[in-house]
Amino acid sequence: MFRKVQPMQIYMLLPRRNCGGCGVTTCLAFAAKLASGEATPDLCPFLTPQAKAKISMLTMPPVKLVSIASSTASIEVGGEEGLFRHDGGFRREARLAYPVDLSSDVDETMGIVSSIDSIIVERMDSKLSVDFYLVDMRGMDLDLVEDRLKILRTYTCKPLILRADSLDAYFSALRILKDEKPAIVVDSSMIASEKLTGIQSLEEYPIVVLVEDITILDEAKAKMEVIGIDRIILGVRCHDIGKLLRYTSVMRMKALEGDKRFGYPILVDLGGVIDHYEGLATVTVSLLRYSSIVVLPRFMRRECIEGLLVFKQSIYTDPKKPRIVDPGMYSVGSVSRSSPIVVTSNYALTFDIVRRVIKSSGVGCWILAIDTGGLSVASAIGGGRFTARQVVEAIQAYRDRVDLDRVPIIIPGLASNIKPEIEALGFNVFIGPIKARDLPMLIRSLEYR
Amino acid sequence: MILRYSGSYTVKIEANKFSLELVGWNPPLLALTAPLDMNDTYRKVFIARGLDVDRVDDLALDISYKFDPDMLCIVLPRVVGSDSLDRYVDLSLSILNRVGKPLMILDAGSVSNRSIIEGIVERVGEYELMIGPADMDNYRTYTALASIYKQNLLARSTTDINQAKQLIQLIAETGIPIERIALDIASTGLGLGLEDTYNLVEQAKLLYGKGDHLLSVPIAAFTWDAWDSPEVYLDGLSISKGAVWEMITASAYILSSADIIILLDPEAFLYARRLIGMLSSAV
Repeated sequence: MFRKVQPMQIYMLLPRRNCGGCGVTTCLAFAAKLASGEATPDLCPFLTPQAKAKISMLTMPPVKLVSIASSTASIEVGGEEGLFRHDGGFRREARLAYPVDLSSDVDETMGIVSSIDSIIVERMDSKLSVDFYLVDMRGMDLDLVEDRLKILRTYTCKPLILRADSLDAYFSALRILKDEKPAIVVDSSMIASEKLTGIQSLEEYPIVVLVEDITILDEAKAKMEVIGIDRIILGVRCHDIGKLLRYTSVMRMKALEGDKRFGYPILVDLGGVIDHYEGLATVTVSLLRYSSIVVLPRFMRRECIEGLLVFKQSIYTDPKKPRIVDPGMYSVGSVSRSSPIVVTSNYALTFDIVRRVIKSSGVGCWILAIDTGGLSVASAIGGGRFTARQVVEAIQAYRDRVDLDRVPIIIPGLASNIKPEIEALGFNVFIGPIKARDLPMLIRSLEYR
Repeated sequence: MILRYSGSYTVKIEANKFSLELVGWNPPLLALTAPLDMNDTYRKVFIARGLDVDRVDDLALDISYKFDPDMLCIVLPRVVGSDSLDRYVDLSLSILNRVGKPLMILDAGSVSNRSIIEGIVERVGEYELMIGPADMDNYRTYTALASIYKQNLLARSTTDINQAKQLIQLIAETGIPIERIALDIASTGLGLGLEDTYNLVEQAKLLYGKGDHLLSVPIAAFTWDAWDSPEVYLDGLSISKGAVWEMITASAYILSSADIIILLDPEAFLYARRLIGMLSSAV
């Protein structure tokens, strides 16, 4: 199984001057950052090219990192180094691609693109959206390919994955997508019919080797490697959940065992999915089982895509890093010195939910995030990190912004036991609801008092 | 764990060990929920699925006949007047006798609920239910009930694997056989920290696979919280979004090898059943 490089192995290759040029005080601390992937060797001003190459080799993740770019965005896929969320298996967010048939009616196609581009979920200070389009250009005249791509680029700037049935079609497409690095799909039929003359000239582009039968994937990929192409994404076109689960699990396990044949990001194309339920199930399973890119079924409904965006953002968070917001007072909407203060923890997820609920309701109030070390309200109460004293001290720090004698203070429903202690100090305290969604109603009721 | 229900039928729940490819996988039991106290969201969901919400025992029957879940989960109302305790005991027993399904009876977090559960287990005879949730604060009450009346216990811990093990240990030390305990590691829904809890189920199953006896208990996961996710109700409750959020939540728990999945929306239940069918036919 894959063993992460130890900081000491890297430290021995560093100049050990402790110059601080990399932004870290000591070379040992820098080595630790390199080992955990938080820094790159380029930051060291005294590193020899040989040492740099050695360190790059040592720190290379078992699943290769590949970038797909448009002229405005570059998205990296791969770079994973574990099997589970708790051991680094979900470090780099999986990506969703939506299929577009470029040969279809232009208005209809561009309407779909506009509709997919309009799906944006705002959550945890991020705007989540579909990442790529898989552009199907098979069977099209070369002139038409160029025309349609020009039109497509006036509608969307998302990076593209191109699928054609001849290299000429790719060359035409790339003339239009000059400053971009789209991924190029080479499927098993192209490989079998040896239509690959000249593919060497595409070596700077990521190549998706797409097969329907995983048993020929290794052979197909090997042909690419012989040609000299190494920016490879392993593609599987399959909608059988059981097969997919086995394929992708085996591929990841082999990659972690050091089997270089499988050390590439995985793309799953769910062509053939028959309905909405099967589509949702297959995408969810693919996201949980190591697909770096999942091509969505065409008929997938908006709410399913939104749910999947939230899901992939959630699972690709590092459980070892507490998700926190800076403790302090935040305003939502129009506030005054007497607007209510909603007290919550500084666990980013809780804070984000409270803020979004209040913001969407249109009421104005303050949110006071208490320093719980990133624990949720329930866990913080259990661990003694959400006390009356903390709340009072935090509020008093903002006496210049709020009228402490009048302002209603809403404490979390789960923290009702600290109410008497805060009230005893002369504050106007209300117990909030257990569920954040009931907060706006309480805040509105306080406005009428 | 064995649950005994009408006519002395039994259902055996065998805890899964984690396997990426689901080798040796026991498909989880799928339960549907019949809350005795209908909040607005639940009412809208059940009406959207064509269920009869006017009488709670009829709702339980309706759910049972229309969707045929492996198990039914009854949730008691949080606030019950002292004059209504017997009524809820009778209601729960009536559901138990009429639906012919293994039953889980859940306390909504009040002392009166525990009195109702006591009233139920006193009169269930040979039926073996799952009662709870027993947490660090109330586990002594539940272990007493489970021990005297030979019932199964659902333990609920915080989102911490060590606290979960500690709770199982404490319950086991009161004399409850470990075979009578199931565990919920603070399961939640998509958008509300699902990533941490499904990951904890995976860790628990991995540890069980390595021989951790305390984690040999079946793991239960509730998917209802998905309906509380802000995305589901920001523009007013969206039934279609809530269903998708609950479906994704159920998928994560199924893949993490949870042993009992307790759902709210029958539509999400049908989805989960289909996903399990697809996975079962492949392994």
